[in-house]
Amino acid sequence: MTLLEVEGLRVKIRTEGGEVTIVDGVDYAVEPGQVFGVAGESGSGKTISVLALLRLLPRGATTSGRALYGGRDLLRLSGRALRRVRGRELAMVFQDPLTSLHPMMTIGRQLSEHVRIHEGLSRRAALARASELLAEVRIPDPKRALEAFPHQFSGGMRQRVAIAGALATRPKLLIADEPTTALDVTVQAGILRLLDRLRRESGLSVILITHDLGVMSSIADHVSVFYAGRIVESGPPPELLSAPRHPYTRALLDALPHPEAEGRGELQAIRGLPPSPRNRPPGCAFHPRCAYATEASLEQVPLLRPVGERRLLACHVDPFAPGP
Amino acid sequence: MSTAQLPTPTPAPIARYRFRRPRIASAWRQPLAVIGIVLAATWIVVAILAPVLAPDDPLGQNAAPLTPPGSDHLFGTDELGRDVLSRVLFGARLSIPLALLLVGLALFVGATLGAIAGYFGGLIDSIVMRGADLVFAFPAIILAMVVTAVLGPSIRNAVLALVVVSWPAYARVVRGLVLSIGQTEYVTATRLLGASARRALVRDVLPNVAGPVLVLATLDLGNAVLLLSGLSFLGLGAQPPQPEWGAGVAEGIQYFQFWWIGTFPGLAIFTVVLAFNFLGDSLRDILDPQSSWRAGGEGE
Amino acid sequence: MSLLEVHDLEVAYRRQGVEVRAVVGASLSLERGKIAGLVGESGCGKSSLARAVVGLVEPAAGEIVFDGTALSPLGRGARPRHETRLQMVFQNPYSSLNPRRTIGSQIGDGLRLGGGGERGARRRSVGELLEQVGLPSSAAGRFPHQFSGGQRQRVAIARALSVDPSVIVLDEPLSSLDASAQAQVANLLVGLARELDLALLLISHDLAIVRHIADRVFVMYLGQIVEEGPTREVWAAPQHPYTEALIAAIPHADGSGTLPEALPGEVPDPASPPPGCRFHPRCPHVFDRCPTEVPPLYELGAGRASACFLRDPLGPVREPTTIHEGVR
Repeated sequence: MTLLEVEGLRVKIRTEGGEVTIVDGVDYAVEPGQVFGVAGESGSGKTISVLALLRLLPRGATTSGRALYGGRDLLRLSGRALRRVRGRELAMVFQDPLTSLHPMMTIGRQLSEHVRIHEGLSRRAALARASELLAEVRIPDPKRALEAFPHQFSGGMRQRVAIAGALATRPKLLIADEPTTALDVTVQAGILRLLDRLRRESGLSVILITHDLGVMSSIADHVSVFYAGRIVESGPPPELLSAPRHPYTRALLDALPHPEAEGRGELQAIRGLPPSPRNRPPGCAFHPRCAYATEASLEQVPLLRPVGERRLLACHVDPFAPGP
Repeated sequence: MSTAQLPTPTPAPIARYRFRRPRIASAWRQPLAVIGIVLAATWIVVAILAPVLAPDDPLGQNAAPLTPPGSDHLFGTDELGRDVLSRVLFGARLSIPLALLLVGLALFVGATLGAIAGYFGGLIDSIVMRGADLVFAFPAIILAMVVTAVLGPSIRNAVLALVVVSWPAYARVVRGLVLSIGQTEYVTATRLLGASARRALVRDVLPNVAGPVLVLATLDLGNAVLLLSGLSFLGLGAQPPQPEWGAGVAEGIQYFQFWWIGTFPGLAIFTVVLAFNFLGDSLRDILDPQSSWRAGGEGE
Repeated sequence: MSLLEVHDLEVAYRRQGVEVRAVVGASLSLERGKIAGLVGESGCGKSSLARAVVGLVEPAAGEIVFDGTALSPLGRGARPRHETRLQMVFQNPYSSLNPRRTIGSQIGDGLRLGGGGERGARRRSVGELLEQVGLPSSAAGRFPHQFSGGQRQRVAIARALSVDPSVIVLDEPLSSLDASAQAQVANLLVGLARELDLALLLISHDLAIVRHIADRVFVMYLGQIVEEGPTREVWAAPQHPYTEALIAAIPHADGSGTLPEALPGEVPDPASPPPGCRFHPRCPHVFDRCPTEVPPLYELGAGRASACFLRDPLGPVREPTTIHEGVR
């Protein structure tokens, strides 16, 4: 059964210069135990589209559409019901783990309070559970770590602690916003392995937001590529990354230094810049930067339509369709 | 999957980012800023046009003493038969230019010492900043009273005394900014291009110090008016028969039952202080790119 | 002769009264027209090394020879003109440009300061410099906030070019940019190195990009260079376990779904480094020599070197071997 189903999600933010559409009609579904990848460059609306689910948007933002989670629409929940879902069933991890850790409280106190509020455990039982959580995210010597303050940990360890905090309430869905972007590759690999293990062992679903297609490739079960507030292509990474259908996905991949490339060829940069949400081009928002754009791309917004098994594409031209 | 027949990409034009400089227009969206601008502008006009606007000679004892406010004398008259309205209007000619002068001097002295302290560091820095700490250790009005008492009570000495108590705020802010901006990468880059530290200070550091210091100075104008009036109220500033607001309030206290003598100069002080505080606050919002026009800007 | 040579460089600073040696005896050299990459995890001392190489911090020991003369650290006065040919580009293009000055004025600084003499003939205008980095010359009158991150980084490069440099040290110039802007700036750097015969030192934690554009690579761990060599060969057959681990940790965007290899443990605090080989607590091949002896950088021929006892030309294990208790 689908865990989360998002339909027609739109987010508008009122600014001085008028109302700006950040997310412009997004549909997707997250299955239990799945790592759902949300890819895109900065400014593509990928983060806002997910923060909208938790209703963590800046003031002046309005949301429309539906986000069905366990039969309830997250976008319409209010008050206690919202807090219960947000605190207990959906958890969030950010790029900078310090944003979710209190600098003046020991790790043990932060984790155990979290557990006590949600599970009604005694102080001692909560501390034991906190230590379990730290062990679960592979913090060496969890008993000692309970006494430590966040600044005593390195970036990678902090991110593990933040994940432990997110897991404290045994959520069904973990939203991770660029969780490894600030980390070194060796540490990043550890966090990715941790997420992978959590998914396999406890059936945790993860929405993983990242601009790094390498990270996507190694862990995601399904990837949606965002551009200018819309999903332009989605599918399982093996197919999506080895045979991208949307010119933008292909351009993004071409811009990466290829690990196996022998030659010292130039990297293929995408010309131009991503559009600001204030003045998005009409039609397909990618058309000014696209070598394959046609009349139709200029006039009509391409709809996300199925192309093959589990793959969706929003392009009028589809220049990379497999030949007959 | 041949791409040979497709058009060759042309270099894309440089992004036309909208030029988002702080606009004065945005100040109008904040009601407090509007109140501040209107009040301050009014008082400045009053200071310039006092001789034209005032119905009477501020020093002339031409009317019956202690007349309550009425059609002849809008704000009434004081114990010597002087028109309170005229005295309040002429008071602006005294308080506002003196406040400007005082803030200007404090800014000059404080900014110079602060820049020197931040630039040279070491012993010079310690001496200047300990001096500033010493001044900060006393309540401003008490220290100013001591200084005027030593120099002798007069409006000029009151201004000098207030410069003595006001410069450390500027020194502290300027020193901090010189230190932090001196550490920025753009200053380092200029240095690597071959600029001396002094040149980098003048070209790259000081222009970035100007904004915050301007905000501080605007906020301080209100404070200066208040302190000047305070000293005059205590008899250490303006001397009779000068139409100073603080002195006016002091007079009013002696004739408490004739409320108009003290109330109107008091209201004048109140509105001027309020005006400059509002102005300074909104100036800070305009100059601070984080607080006002950045919100929700680039999407994420 | 190399354009820039760094001999046994040590950089130390004090942190809460404790001396931290951020760089411990690093040597490297840069050649004209070549890009050298310096890779390593955060906290390995690569930024300290970069700042010392351009003279922003005084080395605790060792020397930096630039164009045949010893480089003096930057003081209060203006830098001697020949030393301004050593330039630096910073990580964050948002803080490396003055927000209140037009980019033309900032690039012009270099032209004004570095002008005159024989180099006067080679002086170029701001417009030409902007075009050289792929921006229109009409952009000179704009302020930094009117540009994207990638464009700002080009402006910063144009500013460095304004003094006709021979060496540019780039400290993580690509890490704050999106993939596409990263590709553009990387291509620009390759072009500049070749066309202007510049020596570039590219400091980065992104091994993929270093692999793509660097001719030589230096791998740094906890203040020391542990491996160096031509990029392609180092990648094909790393000679140090740390290099091996770094390469294995890169995720590939090929859709293969394989998880990258994690390196156990963390980079230790440089204030209290492990004894012996600094990598030994995390090394999968650790043996009895590692915790007790400091491995020198062994020359392996063909421009390669590795600081690992496994590459000791006399054999990894020396006779007589001493058995240490408590060693894995």
